[in-house]
Amino acid sequence: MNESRIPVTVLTGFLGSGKTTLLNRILNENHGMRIAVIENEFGEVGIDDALVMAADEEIFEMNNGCICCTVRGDLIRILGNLLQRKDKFDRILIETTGMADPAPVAQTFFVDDELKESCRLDAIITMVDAKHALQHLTEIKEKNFENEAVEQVAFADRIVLNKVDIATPQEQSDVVAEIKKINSAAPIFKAENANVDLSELLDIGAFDLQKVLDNDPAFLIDTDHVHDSSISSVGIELAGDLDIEKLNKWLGKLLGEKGTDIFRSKGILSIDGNDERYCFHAVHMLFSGEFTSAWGKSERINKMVFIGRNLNRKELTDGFKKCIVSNKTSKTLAGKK
Amino acid sequence: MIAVSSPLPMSVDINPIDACSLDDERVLLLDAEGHICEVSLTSHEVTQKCEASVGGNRISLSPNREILACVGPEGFALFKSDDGTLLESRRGSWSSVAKWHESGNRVLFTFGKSICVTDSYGVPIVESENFSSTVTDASWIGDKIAVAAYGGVSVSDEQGSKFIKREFVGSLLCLSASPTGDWIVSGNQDASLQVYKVSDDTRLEMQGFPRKVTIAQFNLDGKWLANNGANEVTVWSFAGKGPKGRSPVILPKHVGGGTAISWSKTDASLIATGDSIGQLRVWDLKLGLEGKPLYPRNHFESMSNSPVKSILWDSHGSSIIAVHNDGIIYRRETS
Repeated sequence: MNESRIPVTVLTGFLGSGKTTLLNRILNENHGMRIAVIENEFGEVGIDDALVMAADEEIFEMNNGCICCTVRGDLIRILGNLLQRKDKFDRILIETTGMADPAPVAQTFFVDDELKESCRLDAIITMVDAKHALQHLTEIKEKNFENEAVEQVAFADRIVLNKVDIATPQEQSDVVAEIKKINSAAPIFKAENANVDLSELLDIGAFDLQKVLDNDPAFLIDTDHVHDSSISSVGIELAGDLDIEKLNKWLGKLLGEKGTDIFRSKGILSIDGNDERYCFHAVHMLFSGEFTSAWGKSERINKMVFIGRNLNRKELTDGFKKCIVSNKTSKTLAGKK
Repeated sequence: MIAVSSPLPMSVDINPIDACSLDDERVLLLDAEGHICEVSLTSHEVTQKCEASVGGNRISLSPNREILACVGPEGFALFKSDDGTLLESRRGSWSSVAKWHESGNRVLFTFGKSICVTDSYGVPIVESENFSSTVTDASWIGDKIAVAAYGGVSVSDEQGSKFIKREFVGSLLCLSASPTGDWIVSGNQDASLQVYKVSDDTRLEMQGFPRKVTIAQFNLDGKWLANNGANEVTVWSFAGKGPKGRSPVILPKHVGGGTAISWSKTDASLIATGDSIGQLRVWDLKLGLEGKPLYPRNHFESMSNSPVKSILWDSHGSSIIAVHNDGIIYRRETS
């Protein structure tokens, strides 16, 4: 894949969590980057040097048999225009509305051919209001209604716990505990006025699990939480080499049957007969993967994380284990994804 | 005196995304930021014509070549084509289509979720209600208007006021109506082509393209339709009962999908195609066999490896002008 692709950062967060404050901070920081911003309304961010384009959140279902496969038609149009401009951009930031489900934004970069070739999704950053978020995160919605705040946390690669200056230590620890229940995989950065080290948010390659583990080896260590019908995460570490055919079959079946409930999945996998790490990531049923760096002398350990609703740790772990090559007769890879 | 343009490529300092011919020797180019410049293929002179504050998606000249319509991410604008004077503009919504009525006295714009028809000076004649999504394409069918939006194509009455929606599936990216109005075809985000036969409500769907279909164009007499969506351009016969049960003629060996498809305005069987690595070819459908790859009539040496954004036929049908995204422009004789 062409790594001159422009990194795209998606900024989500509930109403009043400080998305626009963070956006303004990113734009005003002296980083020398040309940034294009796609936001919901004109005028929210203010800097002369940035190109700001308004989006209208048009979410379309794809006609591909995948019930949760939706894309943002407005993003495809706007980015199509941006990518043809003479003044090239170093980075694109997409701000979503407070009520938005991040999945269609992420899936747009999986589905659209031109965007896949020109852009890479770098990370989904979710802003959380340390003082008020708990009531949203624990709110029980009526049947068939999603809790958008929970989904935004579930999809996050990084979480900025903002407004800690107005939240008590108890309020902060309560909201952190709730976030960890939902998404134990996303590092949390506490901030006042969205004041976070931008190197923790930009160009982090959060869709590449290897990069995440390089920065945070404990990323997959599971926290103690209750598994129920709420949204949670399951991390799995497993030694041994995987049979690519069994893995494809298992993942295809798993995401096909439960992709609606599995919001995100990422993995670094050791494929039998191949010397390179296989990096895998998915949003709902849409997944992609590629062989990246060589294992070299490092230990070949498979690492997977699933974030979603109704996750069954035992079932996921057992299914994953069954993909391990039972005897060490190497198979030839049919092809690289 | 007939001016003879140089066969050598020339370069402009913008990245054109669309172009149109002022005459056989002068071309107008638009970039994504809304800069519009005039290029003389004879003298190689480049003149900044005007700047559309609405940004740039497409440009379209009136049939008498006097008025230039420009559409962009922030709306649409009309300019005098000789000196670039702004006549009218409307801002506030995405606009991707400007199409002139054959009479030249009206122009159809998409504007966000609606369409707007104005006279040559931008005075509104028709303003529609909102459709189901941002309008992605629109077309005249005689005096009627066909509009593509998510999930359907809506066709108006001859006053352009009352629309009847025909259900299409999914996200429509482009629309083409045959000159007789018998057929309406859309290219789609889900890599398919949907066909609607107006007379009996028949629908067809061609699926399985490897990429989304962004260009679908009928030829001069409406008997052929060409579309991208694969490394080859496919051309479907709409003669007689149409494409049902028939295989397309294949225009092979393009890369990254056809980025520009242009039918000759003088010979209904000639088509020019360009692709994402700058390849440019002309094909003669008279030599084509259904289901078979066609050999190009003209296979030009690449002058740029940048995507071909526009191919313009001259008024005699004897040459084409290729416009690449990196600003390389040249003419090639086809006969």
